[in-house]
Amino acid sequence: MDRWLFLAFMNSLLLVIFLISYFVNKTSNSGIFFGVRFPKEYQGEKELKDIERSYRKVISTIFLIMFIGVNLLFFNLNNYSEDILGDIMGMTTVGSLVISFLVYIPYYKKTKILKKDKNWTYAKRNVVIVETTLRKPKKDEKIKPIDSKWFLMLFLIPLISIGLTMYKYDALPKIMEIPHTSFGEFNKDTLRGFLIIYQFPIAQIFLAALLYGVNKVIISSKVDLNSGSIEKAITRKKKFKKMGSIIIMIIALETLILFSLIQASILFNFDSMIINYIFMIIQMITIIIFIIVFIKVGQGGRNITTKDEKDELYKDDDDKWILGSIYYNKNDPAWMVEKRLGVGWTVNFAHPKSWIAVGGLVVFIISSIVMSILLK
Amino acid sequence: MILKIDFDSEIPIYIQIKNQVVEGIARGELEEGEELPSVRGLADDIGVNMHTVNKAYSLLKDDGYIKIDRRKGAFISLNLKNSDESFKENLNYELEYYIAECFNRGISKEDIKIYIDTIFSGFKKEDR
Repeated sequence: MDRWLFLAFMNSLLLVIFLISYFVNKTSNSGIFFGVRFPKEYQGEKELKDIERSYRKVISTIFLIMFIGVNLLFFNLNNYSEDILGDIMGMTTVGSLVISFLVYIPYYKKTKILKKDKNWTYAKRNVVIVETTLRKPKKDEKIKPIDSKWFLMLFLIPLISIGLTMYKYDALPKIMEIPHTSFGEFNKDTLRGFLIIYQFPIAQIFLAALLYGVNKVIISSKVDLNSGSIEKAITRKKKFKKMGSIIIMIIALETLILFSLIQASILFNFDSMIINYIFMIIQMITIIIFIIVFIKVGQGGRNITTKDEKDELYKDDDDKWILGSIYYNKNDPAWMVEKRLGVGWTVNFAHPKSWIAVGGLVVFIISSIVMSILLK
Repeated sequence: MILKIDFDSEIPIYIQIKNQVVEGIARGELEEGEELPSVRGLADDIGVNMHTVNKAYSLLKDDGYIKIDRRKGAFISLNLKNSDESFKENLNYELEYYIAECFNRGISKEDIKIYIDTIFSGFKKEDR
């Protein structure tokens, strides 16, 4: 990978992780403060704001140090090989995520103690609110996520690549030059082989399947209707679902088209370097827009303003969330739920299905690492 | 429509689901042909066993409020003629009991009528 592109990529990655850490409360579900749920009347209390202010100072300082450190390291390197850059990237990602979580933990504990000391909670009747149209939108509903069948259409893109590749396969030279891409470098002169030629279409199929699954999760995961007013919460959730699936669709299209173009460059023997860079930049911009939109919208759309509220929802479920971020609830039959902290989804670790899913993911990651080593 | 399931109530959950769906239809919040969540989905959302939701759906199906399609799942489809007779029998029985309760508590016929009118006006809103 080009070293300057790498530098830009690494710094925007740090920026993104910094932003999601800095705005952790703004992006969590409404009523959630450092992983602890508060009734509406206490959400503006001075003590909570003080905790947040102190957290923001600490997280900004730490990320500034990390930013300077990583950049210094980069400029003092005397070997810019793919392997070393890859290691730096991996360490920066994992390191900043871990550090951000470690900074969060004491603030979670402080907030929890504050809630307990001040008794900022109240018992409500154990009532669960469910909106049926969140799962099955009405026919004339305007705010709904993109239907799964549109995501199925995404598979047409790899099918076209495969078709074209099959058509061109025999005409390809026996020893060919595979363009080196941002996804890793291959030996320049590679013997024509099935796996080499079909790697991008196969990757496309995996990617389409993955994003199809993500959209399914957006459509069918259990939503958190435990804070705020009923009407408000429901409209917010609908808008959030719609926005989420649109963003996934855009990312899917961008990546699949990029892969198709790279495949075309192999088949028709043209240089895909520039296309590759253009798409990398487009994708970086998409991800940054994505982060900004999600910080503005917040988890489950908490920052979207709707009309004034009627009755408030409040269900104290702090004890189901270990450290305010790991969900463990034996009484919940749902295995996919909204994240407590920040934007996204997580699994219910009390549900056997979640272990299968997490295990499957680990197997997938390990097998793709093994495969990339074998391909080299 | 919004379902409010009260776990502290003495009314079983499946009856709560069933009753609220019937009321939702009367209020026009659930329209003819509208799909209901899948059994698994609704069970996940409420936080109950799938059997509970299944029970509610099969009661609704038996009464002729919903149909269950293999591909679409459960959807609103009113066909109450078949259960009319048994319903009227039941209505008579329940009404007699409730009016007896009212009578014993000194609630007058006029008061009962006002209650009924208020409830009916809630149903008529959608001009069905």
